[in-house]
Amino acid sequence: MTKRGKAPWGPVAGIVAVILAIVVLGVLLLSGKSIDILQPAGVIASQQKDLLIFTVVLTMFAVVPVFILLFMAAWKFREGNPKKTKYSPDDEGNRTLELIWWGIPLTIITILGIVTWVTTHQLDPFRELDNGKEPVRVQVISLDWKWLFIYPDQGIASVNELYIPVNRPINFTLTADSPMSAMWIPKLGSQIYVMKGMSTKLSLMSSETGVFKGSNTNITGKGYSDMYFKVHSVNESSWQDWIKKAEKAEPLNYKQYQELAKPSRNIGIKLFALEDKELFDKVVMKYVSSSGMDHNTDSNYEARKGSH
Amino acid sequence: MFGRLSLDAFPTDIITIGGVASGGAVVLAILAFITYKKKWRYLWNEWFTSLDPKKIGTMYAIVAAIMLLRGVADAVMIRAQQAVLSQTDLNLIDSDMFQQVFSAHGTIMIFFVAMGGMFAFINWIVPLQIGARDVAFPLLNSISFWLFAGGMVLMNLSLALGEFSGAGWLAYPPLSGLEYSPGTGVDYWIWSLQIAGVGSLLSGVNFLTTIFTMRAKGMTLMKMPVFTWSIVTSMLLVAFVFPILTVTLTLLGLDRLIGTHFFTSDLGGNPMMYINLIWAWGHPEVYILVLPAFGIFSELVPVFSRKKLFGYKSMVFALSSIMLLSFMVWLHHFFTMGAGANVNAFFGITTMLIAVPTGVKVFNWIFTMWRGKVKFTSSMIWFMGFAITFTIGGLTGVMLAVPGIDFQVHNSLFLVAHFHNMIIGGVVFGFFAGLTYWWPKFTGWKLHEGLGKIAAWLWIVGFLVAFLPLYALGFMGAVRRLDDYDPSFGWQSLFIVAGIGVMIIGLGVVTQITQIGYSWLKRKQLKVNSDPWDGRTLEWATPTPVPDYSFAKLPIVSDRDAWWEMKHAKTKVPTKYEDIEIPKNTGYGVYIGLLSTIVAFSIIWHIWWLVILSGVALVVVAISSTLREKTERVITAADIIAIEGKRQRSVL
Amino acid sequence: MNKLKDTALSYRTELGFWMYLMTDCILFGCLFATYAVLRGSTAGGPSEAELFDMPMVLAQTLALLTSTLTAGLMLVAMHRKRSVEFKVWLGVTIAFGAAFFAMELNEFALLIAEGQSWQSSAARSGFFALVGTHGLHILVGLLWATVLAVVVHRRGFTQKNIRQAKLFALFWHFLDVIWIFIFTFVYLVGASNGI
Repeated sequence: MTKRGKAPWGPVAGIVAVILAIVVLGVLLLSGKSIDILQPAGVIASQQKDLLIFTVVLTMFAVVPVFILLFMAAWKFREGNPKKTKYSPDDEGNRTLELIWWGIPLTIITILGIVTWVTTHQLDPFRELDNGKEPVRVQVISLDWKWLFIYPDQGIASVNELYIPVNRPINFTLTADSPMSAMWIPKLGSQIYVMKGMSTKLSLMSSETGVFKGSNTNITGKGYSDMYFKVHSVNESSWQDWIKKAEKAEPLNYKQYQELAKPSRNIGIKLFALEDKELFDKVVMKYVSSSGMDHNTDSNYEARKGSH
Repeated sequence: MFGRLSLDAFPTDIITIGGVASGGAVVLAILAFITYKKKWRYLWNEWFTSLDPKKIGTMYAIVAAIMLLRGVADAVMIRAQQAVLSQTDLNLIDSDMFQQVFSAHGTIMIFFVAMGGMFAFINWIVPLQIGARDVAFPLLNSISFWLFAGGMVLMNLSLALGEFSGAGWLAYPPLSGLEYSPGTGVDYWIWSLQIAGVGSLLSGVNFLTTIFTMRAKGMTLMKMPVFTWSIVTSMLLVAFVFPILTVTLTLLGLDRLIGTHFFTSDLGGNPMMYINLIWAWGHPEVYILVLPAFGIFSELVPVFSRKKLFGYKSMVFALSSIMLLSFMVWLHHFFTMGAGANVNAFFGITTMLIAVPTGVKVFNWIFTMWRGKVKFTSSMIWFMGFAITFTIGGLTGVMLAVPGIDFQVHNSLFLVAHFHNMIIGGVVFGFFAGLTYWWPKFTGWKLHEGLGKIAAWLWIVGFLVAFLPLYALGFMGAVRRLDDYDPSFGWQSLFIVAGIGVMIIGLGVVTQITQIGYSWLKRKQLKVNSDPWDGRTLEWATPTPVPDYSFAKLPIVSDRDAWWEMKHAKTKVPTKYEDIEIPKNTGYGVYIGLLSTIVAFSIIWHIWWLVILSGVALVVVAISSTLREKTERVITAADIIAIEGKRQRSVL
Repeated sequence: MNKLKDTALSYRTELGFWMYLMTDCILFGCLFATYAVLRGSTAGGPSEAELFDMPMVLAQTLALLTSTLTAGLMLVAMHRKRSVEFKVWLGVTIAFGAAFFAMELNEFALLIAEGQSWQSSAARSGFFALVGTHGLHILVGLLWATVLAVVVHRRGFTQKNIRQAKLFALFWHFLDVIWIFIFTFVYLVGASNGI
């Protein structure tokens, strides 16, 4: 290919062009857009962002040397390099060198492993956040293909719209009356899978007011893509106003719930005054009772908490 | 009479009809061409019934290549929908169809492209590298291939008859259960994978036995070429985890067929068990595919650096530790199930540990180049592309292994970008590098280098353009498998860029097809001798084209780079030959594959009489296949002298 | 030369078969795991202690153990090249195996008659899958043994038949071991859970 004495500038120019293009395109495409994970608006999401940046920086200690060495080796020892380079065809290995590169990644992973152990416990979705303020309880039911949010303490419910007060812990209890789904609000952090007949927990807290997106991350059939919903993080008084609005809406009992639970797409936002306070438990028990086995992860969680 | 098969099973929407019509037209054209050329007898005698691993390898490669085209077409449809169609009023691809397309894309790419490509290399190269004329169980090898082919046919039949699964490539219940997916789609998915999977399992056992019992004299385990080592680790994984897939698919199939309650939501079924089982297979599966790619690079980097592989023992140790670790990480696919912090942290740490041996391999490849004379053939361009993309993929993989981060990016497009990074950057680039490297051994002529380099560059650049935006989209909250999204999210421009990337990859594929076609036309000019790259391992010791018996005399090995040593020690070419027995052709592989496919087809459509009929026929044929008396044919010494004599003139 | 080739072939075939048995072990391992996870999920149905007919299961076990013993005797006869003896022991093996299989079918039929089919609950699904898969293996073994008897009758003790007979005995022993696990973990544990 390359003649002796002539450096292969073509590929080099190509590589530089690709890198430049990525940077320029990246800046152009991303400017002014909401990069939810890197611009968190909740305590969990901020911790997760810090963890993410820490991990990237730490792994760079292995990634950067790899790239430098790779390109050095390719450039320096290319066939036809006019500069005389050493050639040792029978070189089989070098114990010291090999120990070094077993060592470097192992060190990095050890550090990251410790961080992982600590942060996994800190960020356990079951761990309830506590900032001294009274938490808000929200019960979530994933339906085909919409989200039902129940506020048992406020006696209201909403579909495809979540209103939360800023700076107050939100303790979600979640279940599904549909195929397995997962609820994710990137700006607030941590998603969680939900399944029929099981209830699970997630605790999040918003630290800014604003409108965020929430979604289902696990395919549930036809209307899966319609399960994006809006999360309104508002101050206390706006939240109270919203509750008052919902209190005047139509009532929600088990019968209406069954109507609502039928598969439907793009039904928009709905508000309800909650008539049946036991609705969530009824939905969970619908499947538990027929199984004869305790699927309730709540009790598992209690058991686990006890053992800590 | 025909179960649930009726006229309603035929497609009615325009895109599927178009796909079926064009696909069907191509198939018919090929069949007509073969008939016109009167080649059926030739194909049957020389290919379909052949037990020669080299020919079986070629057939695997052809199936995988065709499936790659369909997989890429599916990818184009996915991106077209996300980048443009979903944002217009055109309703060309509805949700149902979109979900079938991405489910088919994943299933095809993993089971039929990557697995097929891998078995093509294994069949061709492993026996040659260990100095064997054959595999341990030649008929079983043919059966494996025809089961694989049967699975492929069934999978594609779903286009024309009925529907395909829309539940994603791993079909989690309860979505894949009867309640939510009553159609034939999930059944097609289950039974085409079932028969292809059984084929893979049998191949695993076959090649392990081959490598353990049929190595050339003197080739101890620690003198085996690294590619063969990578196949040992990969096939061990196959033998350990494919039974899990068989069980999982069967249980899901039983839930759908006879009303059991393994994974249903009622009467005590446990869908979470499915997710555990499928990933207990699914995670090692990724390593089944990528370890051979590591093996391929470990062969060609030393050859093109004209230097021994750096740290052979480290490499073998790294392969083995990756294999062992891959059993202990499956839970990282569902951290967000909320299994509890101790469990999640444990599986997170075992997962990131895999980065250690993988990193060691990269360093060893780099230091194989170090103080070498590196020739940048297109195989090496693929290697460079691999080294870069795979390292990026490794970085994002470590990020995903931290449960705290995974809780934020799981099932987002970040995850999609990550595993494409590993599978395209790792497996696919590895296979293309290997294809270019071994092509002269397969055919006797080289692939055109210039076109090969253009293809490699298009793939690498296309890959970056197609998948870097997905990392960004994941960070912006875009989840996987979306057929529609709110324009106000501002994602469309990134999806369009990703779509352009797919088109660049498509250009790469076109270039590769052109490369093969052009090189075939110019095969006289591109003709090379049997060892064009100055190879180091035994496959290059055979004449090209490789005769049926591969080695006229079985080689005796004294060193790791066996052929390199033979060349340099100027080992005399033996002149005294003996008769060689090689397996006789038989049609049993075809019959068993065909009957299994019919059984599966009739299960899918609930045609019970046909299930029984073809099932009984299958058992009878299988039994009679074991009763064959004369299974070998003899190639006489005189024939060998005639063939080998020609070789001496053409090579030396 | 030919003898050398036969030895190599025998070695290869045996190793391959052992590897197949290993994969089968994993298959059963998965079914055991599934069964263990689901055994409590009876959806309000009767417990295993109420369902299992232990004397019958014991009879089944004895039948299978005896057939394994006779399979061993069959091998001994083969080594001594005693064709008639070989066929007799093989016949006895098949008879006891068939008896085992018949008793299993009978057990399944009784369970279904009691309204406890695989459709009744996840626990029953797990039971039928595990025990049924073992039964299916027994059926394959019986078929294999029958073919073996015919082939030996027609072609005598060829190298290939000797290999086949050894492998069959190995397979039969393997099924015996799996059954011991089923007997212990399914039947004994199941029957004692209710007490």
